[in-house]
Order: sequence, then structure tokens, then C-alpha cells
Amino acid sequence: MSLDLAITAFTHLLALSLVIQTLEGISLSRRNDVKAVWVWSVQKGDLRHTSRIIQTLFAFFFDDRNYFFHLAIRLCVALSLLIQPYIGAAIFLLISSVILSIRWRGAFNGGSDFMTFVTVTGLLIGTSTSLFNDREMAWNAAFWYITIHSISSYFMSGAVKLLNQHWRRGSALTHFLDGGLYGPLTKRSFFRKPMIAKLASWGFILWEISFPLVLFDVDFAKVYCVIAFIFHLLVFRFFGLNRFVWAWVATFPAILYCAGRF
Amino acid sequence: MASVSAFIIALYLAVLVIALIKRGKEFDSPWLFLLRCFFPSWRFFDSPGPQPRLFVRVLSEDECWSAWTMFIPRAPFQLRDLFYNPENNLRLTEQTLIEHLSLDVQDLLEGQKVDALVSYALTQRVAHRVARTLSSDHKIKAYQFELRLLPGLDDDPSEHRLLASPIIKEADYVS
Repeated sequence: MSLDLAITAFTHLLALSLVIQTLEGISLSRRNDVKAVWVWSVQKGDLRHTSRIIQTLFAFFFDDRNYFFHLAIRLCVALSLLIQPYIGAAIFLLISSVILSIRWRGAFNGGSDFMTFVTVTGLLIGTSTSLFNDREMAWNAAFWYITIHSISSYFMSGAVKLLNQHWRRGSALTHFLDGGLYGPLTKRSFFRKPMIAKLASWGFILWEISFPLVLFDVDFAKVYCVIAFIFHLLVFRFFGLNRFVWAWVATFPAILYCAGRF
Repeated sequence: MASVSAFIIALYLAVLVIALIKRGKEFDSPWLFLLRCFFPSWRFFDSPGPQPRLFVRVLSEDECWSAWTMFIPRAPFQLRDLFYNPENNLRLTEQTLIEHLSLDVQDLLEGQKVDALVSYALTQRVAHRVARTLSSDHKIKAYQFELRLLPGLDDDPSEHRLLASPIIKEADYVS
């Protein structure tokens, strides 16, 4: 994959991921039931260990009107990535992500927030380093940063499953699918059959722990990225984790760019 | 530049190995907890152990207590959720809050009060929201919630109650 194509694909997919997250955030910020539960007057207790200045600062950020404006600006900045990635956008998005992480006590949606941090940080590396160095070198660093995080996420996820007896037996898969958002599994579901659950589990485990091999061949990387997309769609289908799909897809251009250059 | 990149990559790989070795240990620093996005663990559905669940019951206008109802995020599948899914993501966040409360309760030191926890105060509000859905006209006189650990796939098949709230009167509820 050429550098220009990789940059364009990455920034467009990152924009898509951020737009989806931000539109959801804007929708939730307007709802009275959300405001009734996630009240800053209660949540500010998370910052009781900090200085008065920081507490005042975050009280300002999380005032209803300011919070909405912040999300509106975040939406515009995310959309601007479709035109041109630039350092100002990257800095804003990173700071915005920190603010949102504090608003939701560390993360709104767990892993997808973590990977969003990674891709936004990669954007910052690419845009900022381009100012002082060769553009190719800058984006090389950015894409390697993203690639290592993305690959390690699959590897780590597979490794911890491999070390767990219930995953090796297949029973963990059925257990988690039963508790999924769109669950429970029907009585006749394939995944209730022990052999199928075991085969599926081992399939996921082996695919995840072998992910680092994508670095050695670009065609291999393409196949793994297609499988990864299908995997994330399945995770969405059972667990409702739509943000995970787009957060990880945004890393694929980086993986495809770095594959074979190791 | 290449040597700096190589050093950063090697450093990160070392962090990765340490994270794998130290998996399962939770953050005990407030800032690390709030900024844990900078230190992803990439542990997803790793261990089917005991699952913390919120149970709620309500006292209706005619002074009858309902049965305990478990809160578990459930929804009918819709393809459009792939692109826009705020409601379900919010429910999942509430379940994450309950899991954090479970950890906070188990980490309480001698003499520490559970109602001083931010996670407890927020869970109380989630429970209030759930309680109102249990009444057909959303009117309740009081509610109560419990945090229970439901058995996972490990050997212990029993359910454990981690905490039980006092009875909270609707009139006393602070919005």
C-alpha cells in the first residue's frame, strides 16, 4: 500500500469511527435519563484527590452546555479529517479523548476507547513529526505505533484465552455468548454444542495469537484484516459492540502499510 | 530516527510482556483509573469467572414489594446499531459501572463506608432508573438494590451477595 493511500484510508476510517462515537455522545448528552444518572455533582468525587483548579476546570467542561459544544466541535474536527489531517485536529482530538475518558470514569466503551486513543495518538505522531521531519518518516512512525498496538491487541486477547482452561474447552465461548447484549443463545444454537464451541474457540485463539505474522507478508495481512473485519462484525452481532468494529478497522491501513516492511 | 523508533518499539514490547504477566491486577491509583486508556490491557472476555449483577426490587403504591429483578443489558438485534447504538452502549456502560462497584466493594478497607464510593452513588442512580421501569406507571414508593456475584464457570456454584442497599424511599431520592 502506498503511503498516500494509507494516510487517506486511515484518516477517513478514523473520521468514520469518531463521527459514530460523537453522534452517539451528542444523543446521550441531550437525554434527561442520562443526566439523571451520570451527574457531575456525584462523579466529581473521582477527582477529590486533585487540586481545586482541576476540579473547577472539569466542572466547567462537564457543564451541560459546554459539554454539548465540546462534542459539536469534536464532530466538526472529526469530519475535517476527510479533507486533510493536520496537527491542530490531532491535538484537539487527543485532549478531547482525555476529557471524555474522565467524564465516563476511564472509558465509555472500554476497548474501543483504548484503540481510539491509539489511532488519535498515531494521527498526532504523523502530523506533528511531519513538521520537523520527512513526511514519509513521520507517517512510518505513526503507522508502526498503530500497527504494534493493533497487533498486540489481537495477540494479547488470544494469549489470555489460551491460558484459560474454559476457553480451551470451549465452555467460555458459550458462557459469554449467553450473556451478550443480543442474547441469550437459543436452545438450538450451534454454540451450545460442545464440539462446535470448542472448535470456534480454538479458531479464535489460534487466529489471534498468530496475528503478529501479518508483519511478514502483505497478502497475509490482507487475509487477516478481512478475517478481523468479520470477527468484529460477529462480536457486534452477539455483543452489540459496534464501536469496536470501526475503532479496529481504522488500524487496518496502518497494518497493511507496515506489512512486509519488517 | 530509526534507532529512536526501535527503542520505543522495544520499550513498548517490554510493557506488553509486563501487562501479560500482571494481568488481572486492577489499578489502585485514581488517575491511573481515570486515564487507563493510555495503558490498554487488551483483555477481552478473558475469564468466565463470577459475574457481578445488579438486582432491584420496588415497593409499589399499594405497599407490595416486587420480586428481585436482575439488570442485564439486553436488546433486540438491529442492523442499524452497527452505525448508531447510543442506547445499548449506555446500558453496557452501566454494567461496567456495576463491575467497578463490585471491585470497589471487595477492595474496601476496614472502616471505609460503601456509600462514600462514587461507584455506589452512581449505581444507586442506575438502580433508581431500573426501579422505575419495573412499575407499569413508573411510580414507586421505595426501592432497594443488591449487588450479587453470580457463579461463573469455576468450581463454586453458589451466588454471593456483595452488598444490599438500605430501602430508599422515592420521596428521599435526590435527583
